[in-house]
Amino acid sequence: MTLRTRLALLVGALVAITVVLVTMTVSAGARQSFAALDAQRSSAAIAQFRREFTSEGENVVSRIERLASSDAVRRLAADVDAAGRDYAAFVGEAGPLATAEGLDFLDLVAADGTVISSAHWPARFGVRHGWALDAAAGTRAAFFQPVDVPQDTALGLVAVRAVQARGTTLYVAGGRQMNRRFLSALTLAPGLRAWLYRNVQPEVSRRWLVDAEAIDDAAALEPLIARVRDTGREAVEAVARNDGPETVQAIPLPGRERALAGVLLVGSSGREQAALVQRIRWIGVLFGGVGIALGFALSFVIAARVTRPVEQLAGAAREIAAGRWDVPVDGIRASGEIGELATAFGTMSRQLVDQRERLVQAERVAAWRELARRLAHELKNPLFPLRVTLDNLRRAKPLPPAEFDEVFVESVDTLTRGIGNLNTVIGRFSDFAKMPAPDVSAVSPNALVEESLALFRAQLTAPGAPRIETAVDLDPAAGAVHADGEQLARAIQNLILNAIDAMPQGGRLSIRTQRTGDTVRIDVSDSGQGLTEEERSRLFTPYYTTKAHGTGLGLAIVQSVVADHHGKIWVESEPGRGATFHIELPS
Amino acid sequence: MAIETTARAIDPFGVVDTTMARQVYPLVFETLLAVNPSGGLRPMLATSWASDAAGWHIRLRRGVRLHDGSLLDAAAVAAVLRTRFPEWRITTADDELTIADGGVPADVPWALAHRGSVIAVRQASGAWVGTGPFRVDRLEPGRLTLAAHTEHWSGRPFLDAIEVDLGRSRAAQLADLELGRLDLASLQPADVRRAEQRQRRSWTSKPLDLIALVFEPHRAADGGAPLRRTVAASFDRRAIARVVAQGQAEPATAVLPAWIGGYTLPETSGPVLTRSAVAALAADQRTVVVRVPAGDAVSRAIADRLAVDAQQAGFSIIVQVPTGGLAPRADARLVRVPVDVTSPDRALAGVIAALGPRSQISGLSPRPGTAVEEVARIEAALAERRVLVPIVHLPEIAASAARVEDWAGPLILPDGTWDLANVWLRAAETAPR
Repeated sequence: MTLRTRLALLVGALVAITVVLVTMTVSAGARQSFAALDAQRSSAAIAQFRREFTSEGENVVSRIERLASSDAVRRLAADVDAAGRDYAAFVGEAGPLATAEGLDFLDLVAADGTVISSAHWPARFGVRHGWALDAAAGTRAAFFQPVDVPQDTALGLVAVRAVQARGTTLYVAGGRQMNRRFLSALTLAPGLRAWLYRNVQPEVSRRWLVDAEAIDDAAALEPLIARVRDTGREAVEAVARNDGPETVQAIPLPGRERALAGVLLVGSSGREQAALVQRIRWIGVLFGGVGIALGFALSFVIAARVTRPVEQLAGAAREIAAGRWDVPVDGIRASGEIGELATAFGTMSRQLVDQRERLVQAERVAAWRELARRLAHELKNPLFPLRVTLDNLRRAKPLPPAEFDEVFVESVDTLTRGIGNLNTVIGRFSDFAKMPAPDVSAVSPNALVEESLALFRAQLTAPGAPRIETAVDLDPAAGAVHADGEQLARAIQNLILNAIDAMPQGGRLSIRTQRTGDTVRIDVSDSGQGLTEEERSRLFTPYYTTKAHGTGLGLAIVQSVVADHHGKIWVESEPGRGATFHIELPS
Repeated sequence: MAIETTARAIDPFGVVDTTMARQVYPLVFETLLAVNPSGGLRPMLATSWASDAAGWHIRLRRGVRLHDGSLLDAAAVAAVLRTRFPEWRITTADDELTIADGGVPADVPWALAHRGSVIAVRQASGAWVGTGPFRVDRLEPGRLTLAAHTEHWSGRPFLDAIEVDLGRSRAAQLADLELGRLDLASLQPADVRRAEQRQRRSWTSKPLDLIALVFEPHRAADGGAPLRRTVAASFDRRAIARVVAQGQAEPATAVLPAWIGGYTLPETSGPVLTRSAVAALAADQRTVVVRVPAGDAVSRAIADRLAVDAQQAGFSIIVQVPTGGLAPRADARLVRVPVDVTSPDRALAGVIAALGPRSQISGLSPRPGTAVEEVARIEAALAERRVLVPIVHLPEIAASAARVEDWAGPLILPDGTWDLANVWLRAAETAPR
């Protein structure tokens, strides 16, 4: 992974984490704010309900008192007193009175507790009224009370007043129904809902919710209602709905003597809140996504700006490492440490180029000197017999013709051989200078090794020759390499000849081929006296030789051939332990 | 006056509803005999009736003229009766009819007193003419006008004409009566007190209409017996008659009112009886759906009271008023059946026939001529089965404006028919407004 990629990913990750954290923080903050707002709304609604209950209760008390003090009811009480226990004539009296006062419930109850007339259930005459007498003896305020109506039980906010007649008491018990109409009359904030539960049975049942059939999932409210019934205190519970959680507050509605008559439930739907939070979350995700994308894009741009000079420097370093010393580094534009690094790198590369040129120059001079020395040395040896021969020939001039002829012939032969030696020397130098470009084809390294070794069989087995054992280990998987067979064979032969020369007392010559991945290695080992450190370092220098009669060009030619095939050559050796030359060629 | 029915034609032999049969047709058409307040028979178009081995000898009133002015003779009467009773063999001699049916049909006089046995003659125009104190003058949408029959056999009626508003509910009639728009109105029992408080005069017949619970077939079988016993024992007939019907009704333990049947059955309800019956009920039988006829306020009020009594007893009655939509299957229906004022056997057979075969009691219908003792035994058997549970008998009730005066006898006869031949109006200037 490149520096630019790592840097871009790092910056992008930092941006992404930041965006995600910001989004989560905003979302959590919004949720908390909405929850607080929701709680405020519910509290306000409950306060509104309490005010409305109080107001409605005062209203009911006022109406009942107005009825109780009216002439019509006083006259009715007198008539009831006069009628004895026959109340049949009064069965229809409550209806018009309730209508006149706008009451949903109205019972006229005799002193013995018998219903004389019922506005909300006219047929309920003659039965015993469940609460009028007890209530009249107790509170004067309105209270919540389950009220029997045809085929149901309603929740009422009721009050009772007694009307004294001559010999009897008539109780006026009535009130308003706490039903959907009452709830609908209140203006609730959006998202708020209210239900009323009538506490009329020992068991909690959803059917006692007002308009239970119109309530979705009324069963979910039952545990909350049961809690309020058990404790008599307010309770709050989050109820899971299809469209999101709903926080429901349950308020006990006290009846007569603090008995629980009903429960007011105010639900604050989490739907809007969830929708808002969801919207914020989606906006956060959207902006987060855009931010992350922009962050990544910017990080790549920034990383590119930061790493471009570094990459250029790295590229330049690779070029220099590859030998292209003249790569320009002046074009790298950077500031700060990177700029200083680029400047230093440029200076260093220029110094390297200068030093290389100086080194090359020095080596060139040294090579020329070595060449001149070797040439002089090589030429000096053949020239000495030639000068001696010429001196002999000059001194033989005065000799008789027959002797002179003999000397002459002998001198000419010597001169001819000497000139031949000179030609040989010059030819070798000429061959080194004329190393041609390789003519590449697929050749088998195993075959080249066998062919090269075959050339030396006669020499190795000649009488009087030092005893040298050969060991050949050829890898069948060596396959073929793309190489100039003739040049590569000459290199192998040079290494074999070099090994033979290194073992004048005999020894062991080992040749091995081996394929390793995409390369083929040819190893030539001898068991000679080995090489010193200095010898190893100069071994491939042209004209360097440790042999008495070597030209110092053999290993230089081998290195040149290997280099022309994009291969590698190196030597492993220690003094007294022989040497191994390794050639590695790409296949 | 006004009636609830919307009449489209005057046809005494067609499908006649109770209102027309009681309030209009008796003014136009008459029978040979009629039921008197004591439950016996009285003469109308016939002046005497007697039987011997040859059959019943009915002597017709002389000089009776139809509304078209023609004299009513024995041949015309025989022709009408032959159409009504094809099984009878009727012979005429002067002004006497002799009626025989193989042997001697015992209830011929009662059959002749039945309101379906009116004497009416169809004219060439298709209109029916009778012999009653008023004739049909005009029938138009919403109003029927009757004119005095000046040649009525008992003398010209006091009123020159009667205008009958058709299709007016009883509540609307009461309102019109209070506003002075009507002189005569039909009343609900609960409105009698109100009418009287407003200085209107009320008139009441003998108890006539049976209000009863009829269990539906799925509850009429033996498996429904505990439920029927519970329901029958749960309500207080006296309270219903006294309070719901404001004392205008009579508690009914039998199908026939006592004044028609001549017998009563013992009360079968009471708190102890109800508690034991409820205890015997399965849990799923403790809710009973009772269907009441739409538009009948009295039936609705009685059904509501049944629900209160059921609640007090420990089970539930759900009152169901047909609304045209789907509703739970009813367990019982509250019916209001007019009882024919005739012999007990005919009256009971009429009620059973009116309830139809769904009531599962058709097999108990008495044959014509069945003795009253046997009718009482049938009633006892009906009471034992409790498929038909009588609640109250309601009378026909009317109220009249203050200017309406009666000359001889009540405005409403014991059999529920309106007798306006003896009614006259006080002068307008003296009428209270």
